[in-house]
Amino acid sequence: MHPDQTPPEFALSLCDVLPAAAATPQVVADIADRALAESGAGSFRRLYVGSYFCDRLFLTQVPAQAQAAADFADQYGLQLTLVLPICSQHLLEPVKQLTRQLLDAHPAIDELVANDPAMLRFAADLAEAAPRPLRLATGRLLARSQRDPRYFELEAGPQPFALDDEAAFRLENLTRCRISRVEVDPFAPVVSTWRLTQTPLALHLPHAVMTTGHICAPASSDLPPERKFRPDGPCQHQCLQRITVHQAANDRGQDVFLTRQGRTVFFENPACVIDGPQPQRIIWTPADFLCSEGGSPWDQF
Amino acid sequence: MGSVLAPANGKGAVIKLVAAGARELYLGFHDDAWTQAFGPDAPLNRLSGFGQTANSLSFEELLDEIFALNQTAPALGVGPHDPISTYCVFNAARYSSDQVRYIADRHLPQLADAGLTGVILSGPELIPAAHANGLAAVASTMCAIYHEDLARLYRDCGMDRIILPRDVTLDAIEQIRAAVPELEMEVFLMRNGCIFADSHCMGLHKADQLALCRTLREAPCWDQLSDLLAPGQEGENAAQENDRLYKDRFHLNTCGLCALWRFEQLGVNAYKVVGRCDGLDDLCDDVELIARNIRIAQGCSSEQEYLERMERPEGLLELCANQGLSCYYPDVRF
Repeated sequence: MHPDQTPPEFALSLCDVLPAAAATPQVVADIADRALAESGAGSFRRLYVGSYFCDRLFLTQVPAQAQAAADFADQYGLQLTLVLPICSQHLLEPVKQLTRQLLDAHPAIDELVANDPAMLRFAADLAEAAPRPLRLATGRLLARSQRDPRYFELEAGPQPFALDDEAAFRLENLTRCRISRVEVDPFAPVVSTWRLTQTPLALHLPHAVMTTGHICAPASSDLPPERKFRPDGPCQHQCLQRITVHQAANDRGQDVFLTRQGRTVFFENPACVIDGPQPQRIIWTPADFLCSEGGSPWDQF
Repeated sequence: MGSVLAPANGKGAVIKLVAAGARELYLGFHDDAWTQAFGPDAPLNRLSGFGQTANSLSFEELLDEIFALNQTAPALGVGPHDPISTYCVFNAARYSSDQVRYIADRHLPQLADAGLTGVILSGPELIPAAHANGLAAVASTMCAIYHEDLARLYRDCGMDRIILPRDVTLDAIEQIRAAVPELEMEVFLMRNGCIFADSHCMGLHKADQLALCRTLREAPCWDQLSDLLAPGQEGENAAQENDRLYKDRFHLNTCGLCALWRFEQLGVNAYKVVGRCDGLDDLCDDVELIARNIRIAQGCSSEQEYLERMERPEGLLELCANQGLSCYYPDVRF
């Protein structure tokens, strides 16, 4: 870290981990306590609510999640960031409608995060019409630097893996809005930010997203084979009930653990080093996705 | 009537695929000068990690193939009323400004001179250069056009065609079509399903470790349960069986022929056969099959009639017996 740089603020993300059925201020407090110990943060200044990956989760879980977060935030003077998911066609309008409702209901929301350019444009329209200042940020799914822990030698530094201002500028041109912050994942052991000088950076820890989509395997558990694995299919929030850990190997034969939660696959990289201008914010998601050991080993796969 | 769009990889592939019935072709290439300029890990397209397996033609050879096709087209019985379109892929997840300039200055003008129709792009940054060279701009699945707002956004920034991702429903395709009727539309139809979204799959697609989805299918795994939420009624056995079907049977190979009648009614412009790494004979067989089914669909007055008369993939009947798990669009029959 540069000696003259202010340490980053820490934000706690409840996105895609806190189920509505358990969403109370006390649970939020418990999660925060756990996350403080994991992250080494002295405190959290902000809570993230919403979803990056699932519009269905956004619609069914986030109202209660946001209320619990808002109540907790009110106690401790925190601000809220609302994260909008990647959307399917048939849930696009309901997601927009709920977003408007959440903004009206929770004045502590002062920032919107979008994960596709059209939702960024939608968020910009909301910000323009809002009675209070609303900042816009690009979500982690808009920073598509390649990443792959299956390759030992893969490190940031070479240009293809370096972050730069160009992506933010392109999005601003595409969506005609002003981006206040760019979110990125810890996608490599060392991430270069020397070419990211114009746009404040927020770094997700401890996980990086490897892939996601619109087909959720766990959501199909209850369904007959001919109804399984359809895009945007129904679900019972199985993604919040269990995660699946895969034990793979890199090209040196070393263990690589990939975690699948719902539609999304992550790998852990808490030791990610930023080479260059440091992030102004660290966004911490509970390291274990609120799921403990104790499931079943499936060695047959 | 929609066209069959096939991947052409290797010398002579273009001619064979056109002879089989393809009227649109998409191609990639390798470029040593690019590698020298930007390094071996700088993808020129989505499949650069597979090297010459997926990009067997050099840039110069690609130009020759396109030029030769345009010269040969009349001898193939293809005329002005049955034109052939060729597209080159520039669909890496992202390009730096230097790389955008490189493509715009070094590749696009020569591709246009050779007679290329258009370029398949992962973002809008190359649209101006494409249009300046008289090339159509096609929004790749890397643009993640999952809903109508995104379709409109890319229309407004100049895309001439959109490719819809694999993981969209038929209803969604219809609604997006209705929202942007002026845009050409391309859909997936045969081969090589994917369990994730192209646009958000950020692992490397390289020959060494292959795709991430392969790793996930093969790696040992176990569940961890929520601290906050009890598992649902389905229990552990259902979850294990679900995972087994997902890994062993879902989208190992894929077909969307049952949806062809509906696509013809929608006015879909191109039907994509996937597989730049796949064998040419297999690709030609699929092209011929799709072309025959397009003719069948044209002669049917209802979807039901088409489903009864359509020709299913011979030798791949296990696709149809896989309980919808090999269907791009299972909502037609299931």
